[in-house]
Amino acid sequence: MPLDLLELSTQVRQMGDVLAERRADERRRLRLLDDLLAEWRDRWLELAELAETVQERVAVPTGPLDERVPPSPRPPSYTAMASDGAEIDPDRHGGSGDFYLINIGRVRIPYGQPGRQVEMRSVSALGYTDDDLFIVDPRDPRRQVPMRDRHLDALRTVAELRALADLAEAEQDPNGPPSVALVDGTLLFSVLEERPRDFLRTRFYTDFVFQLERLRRARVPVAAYASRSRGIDLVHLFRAVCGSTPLVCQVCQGAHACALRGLNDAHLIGRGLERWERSGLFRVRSNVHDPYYGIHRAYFFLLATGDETARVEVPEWVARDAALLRLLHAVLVDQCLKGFGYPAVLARADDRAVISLADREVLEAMVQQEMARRGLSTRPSAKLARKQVRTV
Amino acid sequence: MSTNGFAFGSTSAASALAGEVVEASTTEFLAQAIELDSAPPFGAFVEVATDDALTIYGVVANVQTAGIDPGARAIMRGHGDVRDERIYEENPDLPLVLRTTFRALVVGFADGDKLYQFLPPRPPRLHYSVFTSPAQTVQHFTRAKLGYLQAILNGSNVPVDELLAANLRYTSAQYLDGGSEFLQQAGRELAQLLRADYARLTAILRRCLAPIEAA
Repeated sequence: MPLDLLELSTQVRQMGDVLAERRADERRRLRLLDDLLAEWRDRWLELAELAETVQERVAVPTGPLDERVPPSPRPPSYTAMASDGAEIDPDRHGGSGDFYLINIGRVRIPYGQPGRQVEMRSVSALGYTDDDLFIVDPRDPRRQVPMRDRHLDALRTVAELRALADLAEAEQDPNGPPSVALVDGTLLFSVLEERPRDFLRTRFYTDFVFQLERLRRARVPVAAYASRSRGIDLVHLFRAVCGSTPLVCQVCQGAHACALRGLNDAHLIGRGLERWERSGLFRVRSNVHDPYYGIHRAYFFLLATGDETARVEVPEWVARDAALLRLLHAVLVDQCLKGFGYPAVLARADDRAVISLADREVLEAMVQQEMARRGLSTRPSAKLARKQVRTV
Repeated sequence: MSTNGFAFGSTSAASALAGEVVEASTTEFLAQAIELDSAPPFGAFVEVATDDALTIYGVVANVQTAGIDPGARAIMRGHGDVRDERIYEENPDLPLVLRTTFRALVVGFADGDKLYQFLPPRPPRLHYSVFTSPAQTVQHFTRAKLGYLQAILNGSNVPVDELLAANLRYTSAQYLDGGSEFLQQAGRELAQLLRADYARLTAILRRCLAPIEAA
């Protein structure tokens, strides 16, 4: 057993002390922050103005901070769509050469429409051509960035949204029951760039926004759902307000350090929400995303599901349409009831997306078979070979 | 319509189509029912055709409904007045993640019009269709010889006595005259097989009769 359990048990005990102390400290700081929130509750216009001057990504309030919206009754029938994805990165150590796999689970469940079929599918695609494996700078073809790790994550995120747009466009009947489309996570996915104004963001965000536009044209509201959100856009805004200088800050003097440290948005405004209520809307002001997103700029609200606070992101055209927002809220409540705290349709999409160890082995065997048929060797790297066959 | 894990539902063109083989061995096979909760009854005769023109006969010995994913267990979903069928209406995705399977003991096979009441040379192929045997086939299979009762009696991990009785009830109902002649013959066959265990014999035969009247 490679773990030194004796040593670990001591460390776990020490960590317990720290965690307990941190929890107590958190409660103390939350009481201090209640005063701060009370002070700004109705001065949200001032806050919003201030937010526009901040460099980093912040939440811009669109109403009083303590706004609470109860859900509308759920529609008698509606169609829920969701997609989720998983990927296998190119394996540097395996012998099967460079390829990646993106598996998208796409699900459409028509509720209250007994005549319609439920769709639950996996769509698997290999990437193996040079075009797949490298992102090429259109201005300088010599610059190539391998499609792996974070970039492959971004590619998967785009593929997830494309699957949703496909589903949305297949919903033909404009007079039929309303539809809602969900993805897991965030609309504001990150793309790391190696230098300023690089080509990577353009590549991924343009494609992503195109899929958002397809959803808008199909008039299907889309939302990204993050369970137990740890979003800190509003925290960032308050940090900008107070200047992050605890020594001169009235709030933080009682806390001996910045009272916002380690807290997230759910701590700030999620506590006031009753079960199934949502918070007001906040726009996320992001210098990274806004130039690409245009009319699809992201807004979010927090949703209390009883056991936790979820964060729901929507593009601007959903945020500005009260009817779509009401529909989305009502559907999310019904979905969380059906899925025991997490939207049922997203859970099904996740089931169809996840790649098990057994699946990986089957794919590996298929690739090896194909290579063997062509007389190509598939030797793993020395390091992997050493892991596969342990020597003593 | 419940779809029993089939992504795009089933077209039950042949009314007797019962399912598809998903596990097969010499002595038994497991089939996924074509629709959720619609397996043939316990004790019924089912059949699978093979590539070499054999028809393998089995007797349904166990029916089960559970999640398709072995790691996913069904949990209680009823709340308020959402009960029973309403739960399925509220969660139309359930039939795609649940499935009904049935296990059949192999009791014999047909090669052309010749019938054999012993194990076939090879098991049915995976994914081949399982049909509920039509009444004529059941009559044909059980009219002359009843050696297959021995196969049921030797079944493992099945409630053998219950299965025997269920099969006798099912088979007699396939005869237009109520199968009294068949039941008599089956009684004689069982008396022969269980000659050393009179108590068990009578217990099985009692289960073949009419329901217990309330006193």
